[in-house]
Amino acid sequence: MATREAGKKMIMLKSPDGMEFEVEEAVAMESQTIRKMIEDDCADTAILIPNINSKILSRVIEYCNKHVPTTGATGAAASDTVAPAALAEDLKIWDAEFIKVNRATRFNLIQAASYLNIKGLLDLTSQTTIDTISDNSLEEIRSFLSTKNDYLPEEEQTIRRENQWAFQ
Amino acid sequence: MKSAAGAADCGGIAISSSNPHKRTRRGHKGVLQLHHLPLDTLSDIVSLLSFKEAARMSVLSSQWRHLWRSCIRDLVFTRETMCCPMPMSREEQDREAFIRNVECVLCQLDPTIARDKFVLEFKLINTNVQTHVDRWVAFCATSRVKHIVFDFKPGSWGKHDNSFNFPIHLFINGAPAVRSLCLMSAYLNPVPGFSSFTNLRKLMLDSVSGDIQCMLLPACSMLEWLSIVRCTLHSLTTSQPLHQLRYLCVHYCFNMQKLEVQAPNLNTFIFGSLETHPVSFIIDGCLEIQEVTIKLPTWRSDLFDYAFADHGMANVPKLSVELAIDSKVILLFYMYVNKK
Repeated sequence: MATREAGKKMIMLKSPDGMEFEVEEAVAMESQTIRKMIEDDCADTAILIPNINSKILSRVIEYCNKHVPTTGATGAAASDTVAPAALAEDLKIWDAEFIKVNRATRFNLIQAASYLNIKGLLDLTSQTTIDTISDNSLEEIRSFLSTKNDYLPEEEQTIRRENQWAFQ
Repeated sequence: MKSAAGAADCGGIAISSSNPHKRTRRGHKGVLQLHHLPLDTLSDIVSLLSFKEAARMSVLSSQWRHLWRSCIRDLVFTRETMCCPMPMSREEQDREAFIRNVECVLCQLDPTIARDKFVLEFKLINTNVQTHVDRWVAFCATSRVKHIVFDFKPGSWGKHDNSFNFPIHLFINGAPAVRSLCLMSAYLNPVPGFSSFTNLRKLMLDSVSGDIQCMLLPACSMLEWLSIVRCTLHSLTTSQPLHQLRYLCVHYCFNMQKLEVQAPNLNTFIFGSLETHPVSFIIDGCLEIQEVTIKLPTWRSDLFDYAFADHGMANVPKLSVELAIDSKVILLFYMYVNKK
């Protein structure tokens, strides 16, 4: 397994479009899927991450880098000097900036977070999507989700009647 | 970060996607849409929506209708979710609308899909809707609901004669899916051969009468949290130790004579009585006990003797005693406690 100065173990992640990302083991282990592979000793050289292109994978790594506890790339010094509450507040602001992406990227991030089992990222991306759904009218949700209304007018009326309580 | 040759010749290991549920379905244009995500991810997302918002999604498209039906895990039927509070609506109209709406939702849902939660809170006491109740509980049993709440009289107090029978016989197979059960204002018919809930962790009974003891049979050994409040209960005994039990609250039960529970790992015990006769309670061998609260309706030394005789209660780190006492006997009380 590759190592870097300061004895940090490094892991190689590969995207299907041929990009390689060298990341610290601790960062990669933010993904429970990868953690399990490392713990089972299945990650000698490199891990191919199917279905997730390099653009999305680099964003996921960016997220994990930021969220890896204490000894992460950005957190090393901070944990000693900054109160946990302030740190959490910082992370929240960072998350809010991080998730300002277009719809397609957001859905791809949900898919990646689900696949790699990164709970924090899945919660963040899902909640943002839910907020959009909660705040908008049905027509707006339809366009946001690119959903084609395949009901006949009478069918839609029936369905509205079935769940009348939800439209009151 | 560096770029390298194609993935095909890499010597590494690929994460296999053998789980069909994890496989992503994409549209023919290759653009990922929300409904292309794996079902369990979508289910997680849909479960973040309120029950009402999720139901509303069914009108988006037939695909979303299907998703709603299969993904919704928490079914929450309360006045807030199911009724439109009209300023002039009568109780009876509200109740009819509530029942109609609950039935309407349930007939859309596939009972073979497992659900996490079924909550039904509505003032149905003193009405003749037992057939509906039976159907709702049957839905819980068939769809292997983990957390069940039935409150037929939310927010109000007092005894009543016309309770619903909670059809416990529907869970006769031990109902391994059920993790918690909260039952308020109901009656439990004795069921011969009922073997209790094998995986029940939390049981809360409030204003329940009938065969409560059947819930606490030996099979219920996973129980961690038990609260029995305002129930008609002559005695409560366990036939073998409840090793997982951490919290026990027995409050204001009518006609209670005896409480005998073996719970070696009990942490918190709360006992309140309205009876003026002494209630014998034995909480056996609780080495881990941290907190005990005793509430007695009156000051009498015989009640107190029962409460403190040989139970090791005196060594509990935090002991609170609440008594309805006359100020004249406060001095006596202090003398008594000091003596003990």
